[in-house]
Amino acid sequence: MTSTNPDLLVFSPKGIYCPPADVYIDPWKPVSRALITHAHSDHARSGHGEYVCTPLTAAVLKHRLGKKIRISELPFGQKLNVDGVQFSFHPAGHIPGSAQVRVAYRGEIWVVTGDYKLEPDPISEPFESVRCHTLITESTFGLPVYQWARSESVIAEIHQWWRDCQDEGRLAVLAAYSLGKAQRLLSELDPGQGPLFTHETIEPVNALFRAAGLALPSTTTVNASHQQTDLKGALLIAPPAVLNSDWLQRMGPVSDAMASGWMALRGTRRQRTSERGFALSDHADWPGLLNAVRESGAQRVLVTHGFAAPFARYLREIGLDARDVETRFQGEPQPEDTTNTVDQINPV
Amino acid sequence: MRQFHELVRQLEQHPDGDGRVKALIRYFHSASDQDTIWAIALLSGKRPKRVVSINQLSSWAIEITGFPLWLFKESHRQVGDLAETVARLLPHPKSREDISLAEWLRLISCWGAAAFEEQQESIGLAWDQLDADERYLLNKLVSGGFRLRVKPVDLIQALEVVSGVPQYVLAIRLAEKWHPQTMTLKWLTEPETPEEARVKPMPFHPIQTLNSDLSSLGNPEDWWIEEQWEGIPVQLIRQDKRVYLWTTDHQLVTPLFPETEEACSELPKETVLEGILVVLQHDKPGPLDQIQSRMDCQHVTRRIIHDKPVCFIVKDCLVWKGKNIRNVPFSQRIQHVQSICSSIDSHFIRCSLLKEPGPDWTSIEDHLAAARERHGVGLELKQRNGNHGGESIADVWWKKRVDPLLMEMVVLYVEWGGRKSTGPGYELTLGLWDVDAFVPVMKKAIGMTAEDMDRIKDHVKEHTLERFGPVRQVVPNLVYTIIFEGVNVSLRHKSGITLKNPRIHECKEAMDVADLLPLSVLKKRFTQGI
Repeated sequence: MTSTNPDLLVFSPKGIYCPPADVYIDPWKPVSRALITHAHSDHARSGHGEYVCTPLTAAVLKHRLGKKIRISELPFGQKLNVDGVQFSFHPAGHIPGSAQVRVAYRGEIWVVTGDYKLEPDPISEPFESVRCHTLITESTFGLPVYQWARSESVIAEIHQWWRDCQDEGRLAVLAAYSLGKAQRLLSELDPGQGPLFTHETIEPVNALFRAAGLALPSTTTVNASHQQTDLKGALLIAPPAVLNSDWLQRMGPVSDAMASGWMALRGTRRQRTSERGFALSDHADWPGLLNAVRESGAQRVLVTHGFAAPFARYLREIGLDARDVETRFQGEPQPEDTTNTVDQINPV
Repeated sequence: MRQFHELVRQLEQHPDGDGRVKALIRYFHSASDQDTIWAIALLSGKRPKRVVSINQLSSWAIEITGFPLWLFKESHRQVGDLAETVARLLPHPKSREDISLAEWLRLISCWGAAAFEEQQESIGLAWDQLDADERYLLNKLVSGGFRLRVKPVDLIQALEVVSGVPQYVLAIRLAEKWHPQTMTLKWLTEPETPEEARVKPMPFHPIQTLNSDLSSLGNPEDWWIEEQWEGIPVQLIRQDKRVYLWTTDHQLVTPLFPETEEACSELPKETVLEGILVVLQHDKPGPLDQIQSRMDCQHVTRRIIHDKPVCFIVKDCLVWKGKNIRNVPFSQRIQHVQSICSSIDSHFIRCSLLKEPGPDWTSIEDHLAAARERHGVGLELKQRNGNHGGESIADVWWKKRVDPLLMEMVVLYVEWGGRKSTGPGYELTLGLWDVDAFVPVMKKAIGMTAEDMDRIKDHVKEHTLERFGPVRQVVPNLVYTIIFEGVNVSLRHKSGITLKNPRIHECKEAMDVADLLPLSVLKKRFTQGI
């Protein structure tokens, strides 16, 4: 598909902007009206006049940013017309409720992917390919060394580690981001193997997802009154910042692990302080990114956060009009960003 | 290969001995005999010869994937290792075959003799049967870059658990010249032979730290005192035509010290001596790190022997010409030691120097206090009538360390972490004034009390200057007293020195930074060997 309007979306100092509709997509500075792809903090910031997002993202945003924010829900596939510009959300497969934004104006179609992943998981709406003229894509793992193994095999590895921990009488602590990754893990882990515990920052999101009808196994929120013996044979899912806390030290012998796409590389695994690293990502790998670009049929590709420069250069070499654009999105935070620091000691 | 990859992963996960031994035991239990032999060979440094260079593998991978060279380089920059870059760049395997480690190594040795095109084809096929982690290992093995090693003592400990063969027997057999293609696990784990039993190390002489005063040992005239050096305790067994040097953890270290072996070849047969190995610096025993670096040498070259000559300081004689004299009083055993040492004309073997304490302990106290000037770390005390191997106060050798050194230093950086070794807590970097700025001298977490933790927490809150990830640079105004046992010269550290066994002692809140002694004073006062 060939583009006719090169400026339907522009990169302004406040974020991705649609001038004919006066609407922003995932802006990083306060604006009057913002379309939000998903509720991770680098995409959904506080201070906007009105938030437009999918119903599940709306529920999470209210929890994160407060009930007072003005939210308009726009379910997947429904159209929102603003001054002749048609907006619609399409599943991105990143986390439950996460969307790509399709923008159509006078026959011209753009798609902003937000964060996305092609491999389906039990709780996220599966990624839907949307045809467009111009695609604005993320590139968190935009190097060919990132090729994910099938998630069943990674989950099997996690189960094996959990079994080993049970045999050795250690508490298995799996670090995962509290929105999305934690729930995906819960949905894929076998609750028959042992009790599943979660850190208090994870449970509110679980509740929202359960209320939306997603199938999550039952979990117990760990709190200060829990003793070491209560957690015998359990797997505890906690945000990465908890890994180094003295709170965790009180839980007796533990084995800590991290589930993240960055764990694919040996070097990154070894830099981490955690014992184990499992390469499980909610982002597209290299073949996934290429597939998404190809399936969209876009002739022009703007590459945002991640390995944007090499990915864009590769796209140019295979014949597309591509360039990299600087944004303030982070994608999957690099492991070193999540290590605990002196002023973040974070007891329950 | 899958099993071996799992072993490598576990070894990389556990840098410490215990975790590694467990991982090895798990592997030895499940692996075939041939795989076990190969794993032992690879992990003790017997690498297969390089078949192709890692650069050649890279160019084949680029050919297969069709990626431009710049993308390969970009990927390499992210991964940091060519063998892993190649392994992860290639597409997922079409069919995964689980071929054993021994079979892969047989194939690799065949590829070594093959023509270039054949090598490329075979390795391409191999890549298509392995997942990225296994490919990484294959690339390392093919390109001669497999460098993961396990301490012999860990390997032998794991083998003992699996086979039931005593560690010293395994050590003797693994010290022979062997090749994984001809060695069998059956031979390695046969019951011990009578010849081996004759060179089994005896129990070492118990040495205990004397925490009470010297006078608690009773009459000084019953005792001998001896300079205590930092070294590796060993037992030397001369049997038939060979010399066996055993460490306390039953490592056979003879090949690492050819000068000792040569010096002891003149010893009477069937003799067992006990002593320590030290590196000589200016004809005096040097610090512990010197001899440790000799223990870590893979291949002992003439250069190494010249730069770091090792001396065997003999302290006791256990067996003399086939006769066990452990129950003979020490004063008689030491005569054998002296006659042996005087009969051997070599720098590399010496008798330890004994001194009579005199009628009372006070002169010994003074002698002890001056140990550091003599490059010693303390004194050893030995009863004239003590036996070898006994446990009574007379049989034990007592060591008395010289009092530790104290120095005030200022906190420069604070880091939260150190979970693995010390539990969660702060690590402090302390430093001293050097010319016109503070220079870090040591980084330590040991020795802090709960009050210290709270004090540091408040200090970080109030006085942070800059943040570097988990590290906070703080205003240099908090002073601590540090205890340490000595100073080593180090070219790798900014301050030019490292402290021996430093611990944080106490906070000196009242002390002004301006009153701290400068680094040059520390160097001048305590440095050995400059």
